[in-house]
Amino acid sequence: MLNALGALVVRRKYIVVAVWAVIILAALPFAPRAQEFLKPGGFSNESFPSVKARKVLQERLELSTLSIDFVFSHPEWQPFDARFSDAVLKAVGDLDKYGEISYVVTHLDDPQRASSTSNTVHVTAGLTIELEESLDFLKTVTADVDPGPLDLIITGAPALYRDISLASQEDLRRGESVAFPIATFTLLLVFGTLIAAILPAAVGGGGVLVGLGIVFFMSQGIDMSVFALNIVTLLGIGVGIDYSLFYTSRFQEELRSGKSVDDAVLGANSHAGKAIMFSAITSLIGLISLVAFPVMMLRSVGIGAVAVIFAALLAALTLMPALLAILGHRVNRFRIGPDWAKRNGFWVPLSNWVMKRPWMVLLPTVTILVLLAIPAGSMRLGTVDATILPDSLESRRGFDVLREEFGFALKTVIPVGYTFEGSPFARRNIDNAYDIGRELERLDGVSRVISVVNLDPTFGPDQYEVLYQSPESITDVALARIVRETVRDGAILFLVESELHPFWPETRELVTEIRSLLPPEGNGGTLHVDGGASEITDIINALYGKFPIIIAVVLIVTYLSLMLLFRSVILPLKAVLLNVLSILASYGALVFVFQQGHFSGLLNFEAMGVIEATLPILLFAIIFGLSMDYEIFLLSRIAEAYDRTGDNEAAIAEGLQKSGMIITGAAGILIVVAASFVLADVVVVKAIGLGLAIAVFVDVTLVRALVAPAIMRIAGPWNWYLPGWLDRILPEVRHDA
Amino acid sequence: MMPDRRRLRVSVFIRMALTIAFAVLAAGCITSVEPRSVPSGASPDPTATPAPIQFATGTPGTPNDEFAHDARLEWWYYSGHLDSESGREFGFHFVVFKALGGTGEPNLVAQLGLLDVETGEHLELYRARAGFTGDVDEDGPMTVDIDDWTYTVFATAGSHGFNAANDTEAGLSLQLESTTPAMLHNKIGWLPTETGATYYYSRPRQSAVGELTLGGETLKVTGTVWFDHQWGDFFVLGKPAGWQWFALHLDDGASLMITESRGIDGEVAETYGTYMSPSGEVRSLRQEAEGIRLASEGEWTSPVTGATYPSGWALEIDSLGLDLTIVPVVSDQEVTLGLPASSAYWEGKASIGGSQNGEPVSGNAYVELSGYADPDPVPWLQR
Repeated sequence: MLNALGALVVRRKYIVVAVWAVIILAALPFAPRAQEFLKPGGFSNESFPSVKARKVLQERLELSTLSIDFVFSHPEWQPFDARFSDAVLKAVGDLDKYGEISYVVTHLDDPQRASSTSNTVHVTAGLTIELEESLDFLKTVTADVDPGPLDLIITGAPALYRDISLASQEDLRRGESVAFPIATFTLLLVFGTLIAAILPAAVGGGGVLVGLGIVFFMSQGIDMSVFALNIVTLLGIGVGIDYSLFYTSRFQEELRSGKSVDDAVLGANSHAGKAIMFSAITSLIGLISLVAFPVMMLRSVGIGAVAVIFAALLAALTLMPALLAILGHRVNRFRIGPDWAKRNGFWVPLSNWVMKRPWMVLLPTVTILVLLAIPAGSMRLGTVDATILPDSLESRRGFDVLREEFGFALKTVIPVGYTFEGSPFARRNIDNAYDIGRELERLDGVSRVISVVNLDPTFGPDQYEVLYQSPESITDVALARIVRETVRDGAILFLVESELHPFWPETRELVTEIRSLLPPEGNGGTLHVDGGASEITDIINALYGKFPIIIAVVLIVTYLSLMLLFRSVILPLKAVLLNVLSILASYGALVFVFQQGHFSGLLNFEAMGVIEATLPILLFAIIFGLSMDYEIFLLSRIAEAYDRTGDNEAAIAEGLQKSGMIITGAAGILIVVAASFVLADVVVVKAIGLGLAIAVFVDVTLVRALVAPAIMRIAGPWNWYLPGWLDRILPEVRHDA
Repeated sequence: MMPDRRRLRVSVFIRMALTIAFAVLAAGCITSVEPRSVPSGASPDPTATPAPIQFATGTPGTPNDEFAHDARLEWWYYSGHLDSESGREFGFHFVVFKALGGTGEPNLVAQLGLLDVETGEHLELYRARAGFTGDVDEDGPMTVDIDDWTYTVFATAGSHGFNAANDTEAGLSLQLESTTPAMLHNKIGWLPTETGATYYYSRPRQSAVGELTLGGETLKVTGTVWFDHQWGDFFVLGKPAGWQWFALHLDDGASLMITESRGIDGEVAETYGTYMSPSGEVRSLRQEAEGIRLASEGEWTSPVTGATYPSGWALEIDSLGLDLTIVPVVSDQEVTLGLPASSAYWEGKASIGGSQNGEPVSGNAYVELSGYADPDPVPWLQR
């Protein structure tokens, strides 16, 4: 099939180039607008119990879970100075005219909103709208609130999400501006000629443009996360250049062997084309697995990545051969760097060195890989808050003030709604709520429960019944607010406070404990557990409930694909195990840096204490695909040499020599592209970039250059072992040497 | 030579099986907990007895209940009668409220009410702050800053001071020394109510020396002050619940506190009091046993809140032979600043006339009337 496709492309090379030109020109206006319909966040799902609970609490208790937070300050005036208070009231006094705002609480309503350490006040406006609508509403409010003589910082979820979107786009722009020049320089180094270097960049870039265009159109029909953009771009550049580079170098090699231009294209198509196709298939296996997760962020990365890899594969198999057929020998024009083909280089001596002492190489390198992977064992999964943003952004600065001055986000509040029939102050319902309140207080990790029936340990149902005979008569400011805000007909809200951090695994255990509670037997009613910790519990359950199964499926399918390609049961096993080792090493590095905070000063971020829950899955999907690219490029050259010579050691040396520079170049480009994301402002993007860069670096240095040849040397003829019965039933896809 | 095929096949499948087993095991690591019903019928022990109130003894390390407590609600309340050097009469109340806020941390609100008897002018000032981070040494003094006001309780029992004099138009700073022992109400200073229990004692007579500012003029003042200290995990209910409270300084040197409290139904729940004789003997008064009768003899309606308060009272206590008339020196002494409208109350200076065992008696009083302003509606209850 590939040979037929290659022949067709060579015959219709100008038409193919023209069609691609039209496709790229068509994608050109839409690619820069790819983020237009992407949605912020995307970590949650409508089917999560926490999301369902939120809807019940919104409906039954008018609970507002989204708010805009205003932080007012003044260098001299104290918060309760009449000038300060008047300015605050003037600034936010009109906000209740908006239907989107359900309440406004100032420091005059709740003195805890005045800092005791600085002249700072925190005002909250609760919203009745969803996050997506709130982004536009935020603009209106921002224009409407005039702080007068006070300083004002606006934060809260809408402002944070706005800034995450802005920062992500800025990260992308910065990443691209750094990555492209360095990638081009690396290509020049690998090929040594201008034309050959430009080709992969052009074809890879074309693939990315088309991929982003596809994302633009898909995001109008399917919910896709803004995080998808960075990853899709990163992956698109990476694999696009990988494929083109591999293809071009093979073409040059075919030309050097004296073949005509058309035959050289066909030869490259037959060898490199097949490797690229299998490489893309294995990448797609990893990335399609993301679509199985019930989390929009991962699903959209999966969809976007599949689009961009498919575009890259198509470009490599059609546009690249057409361009090479047109360029012919001109591909080697404008030499400005070394001709690696004429040098024995680094790879043959390295291969010989490894072949002579395989165990001496294998044991220390595997030890290093295991040491790198060890921190992964202490990985704590969590989710992100505003600390993923740089402190140069307003919403992050506001978040920091709320955290430092008002203890915001340092402890967990889990809203638990109890719904039932009738008045909340009917004796039966007071009795039930009282029992639930006591039980919540007893749970490990709970520091306090706020509700109408958790006011005081000396109070029992009798006292509460008296207290609520006439709820209007309550003059205690705090209790009056609790009655107004946490009770409705048929519903009572418990705010369960814990000193545990919202991200900690122990907090998720607490959420699970609360969810296991049933209202007192025979009394009916239902408990609904809402809140950030509850949502994180759902996200992690959703992600990691399926993750092991997906890993197993991906590993098995990859194993079978490689077995088909290399007709061996040992080589695929080695490839899969080494890939897993590369991934574990990158997990270890992630934990060491982003969870434990090493190098946080150098990399300019605040350690999260946890690893963002989607990161390990994303990295698994991306790294598994990419490191499999290198494995296939290397093994296909070794297999080709082995088929020709039957000499295992010579084949390994030849395979390393012929693919080493290409793999190193491709990996170098990807490391540069990924590492450029370390400059990102958003910590999650930074972590993806670093995790990927480390994984690829480990893969091409320790794994591909040392561990893989050493294992193959030790395995000897076992490398090529395929049981006879399997040999007979497996279809033949390997090229004819 | 090819290796043994069978061994190889077994090895490969063992590894694959291990991979799958690992995956299945890992899948099982997601925690789940069996559902369980909340046990019902729990209730706190109603028989808990309070610890006795203790005051500074001069021995370091001994407890002093004059200082702050870890309680839902606490207040230090001063109401008194002041005279300037030229003989101008003033009334005042100064209070520091400490109440738990919604976050579980205490909030502080301080109020100062000043009455110029000559002009009838009644002024209010207030300060508020979050948190109770005053300098509270175990052995005292306790110093609390409420914005730019300072309140101090010294280590010596009954020795207090406050400075609420930073505004240019009005203010008061006083040094206070008790001239009588503490008066524990309800015998041990502990009052259980339907909505929680409170410790409650008074220092019925403190001599006051200080400076009062009014209309930009600062005067040296002296006088006599009634001090109340109350704390506990209790709730104060508004209209129709509430109370009338009277702190009487009789000219013979006796002091008398009388409270009439109303329940949530608006009916009088109980009337009780404490009497301290001129020689300092304390006697707890219960309505039935002592024959206490309290009747209001007039009304005053606030132009600010619309609340109608009793104004003028007849008080009889058979066991003490008291037959008194209590008359506000100015009708408008309502306190609203820094409070929700529903929490507005009346705190005012009054004069006492009447007789004791047939002999004429007079004196000064401070009266507090709570639970007369209409409550704020609870929106969801109105639907």
